[in-house]
Amino acid sequence: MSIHVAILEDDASVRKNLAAFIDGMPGFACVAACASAEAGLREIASSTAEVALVDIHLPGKSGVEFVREFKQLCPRVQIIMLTVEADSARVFESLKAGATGYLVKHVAPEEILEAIQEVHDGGAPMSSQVARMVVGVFRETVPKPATTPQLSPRESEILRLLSRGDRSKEVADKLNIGVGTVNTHIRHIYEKLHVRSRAEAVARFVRH
Amino acid sequence: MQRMFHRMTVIAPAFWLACASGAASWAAAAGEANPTREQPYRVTRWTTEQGLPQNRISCLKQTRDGYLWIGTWFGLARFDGVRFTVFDKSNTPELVNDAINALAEDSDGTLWIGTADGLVSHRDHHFHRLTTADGLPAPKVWRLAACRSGGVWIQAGDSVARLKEGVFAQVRHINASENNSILALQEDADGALQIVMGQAWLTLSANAVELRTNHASRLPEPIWLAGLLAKQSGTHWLGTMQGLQRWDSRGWEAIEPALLGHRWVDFIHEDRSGNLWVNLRPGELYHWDRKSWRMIDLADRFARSPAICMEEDREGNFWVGTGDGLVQLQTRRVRAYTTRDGLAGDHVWSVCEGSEGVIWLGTGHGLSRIQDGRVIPLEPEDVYPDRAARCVWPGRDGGVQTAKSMIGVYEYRNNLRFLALAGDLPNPNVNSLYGDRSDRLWIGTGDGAATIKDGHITAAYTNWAGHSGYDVRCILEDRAGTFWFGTQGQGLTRMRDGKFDVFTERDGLSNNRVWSIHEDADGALWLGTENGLTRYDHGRFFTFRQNQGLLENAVNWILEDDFGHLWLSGLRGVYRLRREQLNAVAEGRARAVQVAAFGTADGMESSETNGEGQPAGWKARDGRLWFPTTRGVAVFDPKLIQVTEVPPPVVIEQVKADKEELEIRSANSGIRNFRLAAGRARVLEIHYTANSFCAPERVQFKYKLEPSDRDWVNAGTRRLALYTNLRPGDYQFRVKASNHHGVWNETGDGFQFTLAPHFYETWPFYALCGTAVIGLATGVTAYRLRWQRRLLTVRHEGMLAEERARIARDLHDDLGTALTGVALEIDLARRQSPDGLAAQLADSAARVRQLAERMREAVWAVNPECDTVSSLASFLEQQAGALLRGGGVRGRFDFPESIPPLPLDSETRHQLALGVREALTNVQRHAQATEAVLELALREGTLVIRLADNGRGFDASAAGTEPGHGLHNLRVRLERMGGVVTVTSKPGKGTRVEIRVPLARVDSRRKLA
Repeated sequence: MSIHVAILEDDASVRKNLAAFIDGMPGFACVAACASAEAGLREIASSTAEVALVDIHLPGKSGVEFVREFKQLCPRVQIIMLTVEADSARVFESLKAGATGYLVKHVAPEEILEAIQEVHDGGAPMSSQVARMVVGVFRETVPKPATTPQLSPRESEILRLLSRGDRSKEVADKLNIGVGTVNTHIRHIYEKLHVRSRAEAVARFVRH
Repeated sequence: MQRMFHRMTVIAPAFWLACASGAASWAAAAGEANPTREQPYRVTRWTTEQGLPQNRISCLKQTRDGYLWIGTWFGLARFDGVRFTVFDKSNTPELVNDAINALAEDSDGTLWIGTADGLVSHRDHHFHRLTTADGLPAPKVWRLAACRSGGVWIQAGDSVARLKEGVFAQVRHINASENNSILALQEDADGALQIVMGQAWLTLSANAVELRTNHASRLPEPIWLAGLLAKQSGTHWLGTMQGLQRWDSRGWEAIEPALLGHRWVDFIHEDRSGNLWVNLRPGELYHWDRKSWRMIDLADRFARSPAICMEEDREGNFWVGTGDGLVQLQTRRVRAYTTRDGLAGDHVWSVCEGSEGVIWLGTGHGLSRIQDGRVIPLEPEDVYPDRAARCVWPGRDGGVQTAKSMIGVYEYRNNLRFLALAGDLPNPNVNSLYGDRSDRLWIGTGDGAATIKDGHITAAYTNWAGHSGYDVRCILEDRAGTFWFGTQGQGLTRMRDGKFDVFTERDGLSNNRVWSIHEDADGALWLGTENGLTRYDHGRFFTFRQNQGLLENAVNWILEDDFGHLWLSGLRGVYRLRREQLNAVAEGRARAVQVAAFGTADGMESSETNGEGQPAGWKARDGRLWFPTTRGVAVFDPKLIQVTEVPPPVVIEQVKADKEELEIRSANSGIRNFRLAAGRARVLEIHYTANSFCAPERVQFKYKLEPSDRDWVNAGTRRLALYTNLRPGDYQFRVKASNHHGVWNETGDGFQFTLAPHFYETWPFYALCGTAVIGLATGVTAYRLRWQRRLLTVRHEGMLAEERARIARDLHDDLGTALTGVALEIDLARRQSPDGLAAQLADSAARVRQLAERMREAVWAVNPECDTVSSLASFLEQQAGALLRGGGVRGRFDFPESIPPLPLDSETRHQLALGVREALTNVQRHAQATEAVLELALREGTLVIRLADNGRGFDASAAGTEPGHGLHNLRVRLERMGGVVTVTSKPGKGTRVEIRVPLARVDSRRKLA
């Protein structure tokens, strides 16, 4: 069984070549390749994709907006953002909206395949930088509804280690737990981040 | 004859009030104890500090493209209302001598410039010089006068000649002497040339054959200083050492001898309305409107400087060239009253009209009253005069009801009577007063509303729709008897039959801070809010903001005049909009409304109006509109207010492709279509302007580059368009502009060009894959340098940031993605290639990716959005992660959990990034480390970055043993930024590099936009 991958990228050259590259690798199949968020919401949502590579800059509806809407339609599809710049604010927005990871576009295609494999297998990549930003979000002291999820002590501990540059494997070793458990924790952190950012959006709306 | 002239008075009348009520009123006003000192003109002065080449102005001319040209002894300046462009011998070889004596525009639109060494013409941005070799009678050109039949009259040396079609014809020598020099040249209605001299007045016939002494040349006064033949009346005017003289069929007559009789009149000018302007030496400018004389205050900086020349522009502004700068006189269309007129305070909060035409004002220092255009002192005095009267509402019998926060609501008539003490109200802060049709006075407080009738509080409303704490800012009873409350933050409340409904942003209201409610003649409600204007009609809300054509989103108050306009007061002016047009936009029949904006250019003392309290605007019974402002109260008469209908001429001043200026105009054929070579116009820069002088800061622009822009780009007030990365093809650029009153010049200006395709845009793609990778590398590097340099020279700082961000984004999106596409394509080709070639292609792909990475860094370095410490931190982290991973070193980070958004300028940021990269490269190449820790900290205004590895280390105490050149470069780089670099290392104990940069210094280096 190969991993079904979808691509959302407006640059035709990148889209076509990436699709051809993925299709040509054993164990991977490109099932959809779209050029706009609007097309993506139609085609990727109705495809058998398990992992979607999404360009963060799209004409019209942005990649972040796409993630927000797409996650409502297909919550189980894992999303990896593709970005050309170190625009951490925007990357973080997409993570808050529901993406599971991101890649700088010009990494070697082998790295892209590795990342696809990792999220497909239940992994949850989180860079030290993102980990720090997550910590920041959960430390904000704006008044919020009681239902807003908080981090568990274990999750906070994992975030702290990740923010120092440790990989999942090292975190697992230090906390004496399995890598799979670490990944599960990170997934939970992403979910809480996601729920929280939605709750915040609502809270902002109510306050005004 | 003297009876014709009114006695001149130094105190000027209230200008248009006088116009409306007749000339008699000002004569009376002048004798009053509290005369209004208002001048009819708003005076603006420009000097060398704003870019004039010299403060003594010799001559002025507005050309048909709208520019105002200014001649001085130190060069020629061109003015568009915003910027002076100076032409002198340093940048214009045709101006051999910088002394500019005269300017004239001929019927072809050529500007003629009389200099102290030659006659220079200017057309389509090209100068051309004529000398005695071309037939100019003498090198020094003193005077010029345009010829209606083409060409110009010239006085050069002691000769007069006519230049037509490049030929100096009919040269006449004039017998001049020290006391009998030429003072003025002027073509009369018959095409003859009038030559006014120190002791004679000559007429040269249109064919320049017959030179005779003018019949007006029989004046006893020996020395003349100025002369003019009035165009409309044909009257001869002479300025002499004994005042002003006028000649008609009965001979010469002295004008206003009591005023002008023993003064030297050395400058006479007739404007388009036939009114006269004269200068009395040393420097007093008088204006004669054919009825009375008035001295015009030019707001001189030092001693009185003389008026030397004058020009009336096409928008009706007067320009006076003086001995001390350029002065603009703008007719005031709006009357403003301030403390100078006797108001209690300049901060006016509220205004209403009582009976007998009395206008009441609530100011920051209590009540004031205006009647018949004058401020009438209060008798008895207001209570607590130092407390702001936030609201006023007409009371009975000529009185007024007013409110002061913490004090209460009281009535002021012949005495003072409290209606409610602050303590008796739901909240002591009162921000609105409103009288309904059943004679109740509504009081809007910080905590709901209360009503007063017959001096007693009759009701209080503090709790509705399940909430309390409504801060009521405006109240309205509509025609159906329904009450509406606008609140500060809690939206709009409707009270109908004892039932309350609250509308907020969720229902379609533009903002929950509702400051004004107006019911129009058709029964629609208009709501002014902090963030837009909302129409409420038949249960539906529609919001207008800048996207719908408004010039600002804050709406303090709304008034409607008798001519179908809504007037909105905002923070940057007062705006007039057609109600019908607003409805058309709300109903989808039009895209945007047109707005006429009024501000200080029209006579307001401040463009910022006051609001947030009621009533913050009032339509008086005579139709005039009163708006309280932060400097006095401004009065608009919709009947008299004129919109400047002259659309501003638009000029493309300069086009640059990659810094090199392009000639889009040829000397005589106007705009031409030109071709740009391949690869040009990576950065295309188009400078344009519009010549409108009433309020240049309010001139708006739109531009469009077809086919690259799908729609017009709204440039706001920006006078520069920048394009990057244009694809080959045919282009057409157009720009249009609107003046301060929203009148658009739809034709605008434009040009066409063709951009030739680049080699790689025509060649098959694989040709690039093999060989062009290296070429591209150099290209990108050169590119980076070029636009960095380019950016450094862009003039406007604010624009610079904007353009840096835009170029950064463009580069990312286009080049970054394109490079990724190239790399992927090579990867694909690699897969199907034999081994030897595959290895080569893998190498190529890796290099393309390196390029993409380099570009990402460069883009980060210039992107102003990244000008913060936190952005540096995230960049360093990514850089360290990638570099160390490549060298098999484990990277760890010790960064603060949250980094405050401190500013860090691009240069320092970039140097720090390069410095850390060098340190990282050392770790990767030389240290033989397995782990490195990058640490970032902020301590007492210092940014500390540390990189420690567990490698083999070296003996830091032995000089010159630092590995590689990296650390030396690092030192040089950072010490220039005021940083300190410390390297500690011992053999076997790893290496620690510490960089400290004072942030305070970094701060001061940063220019705030």
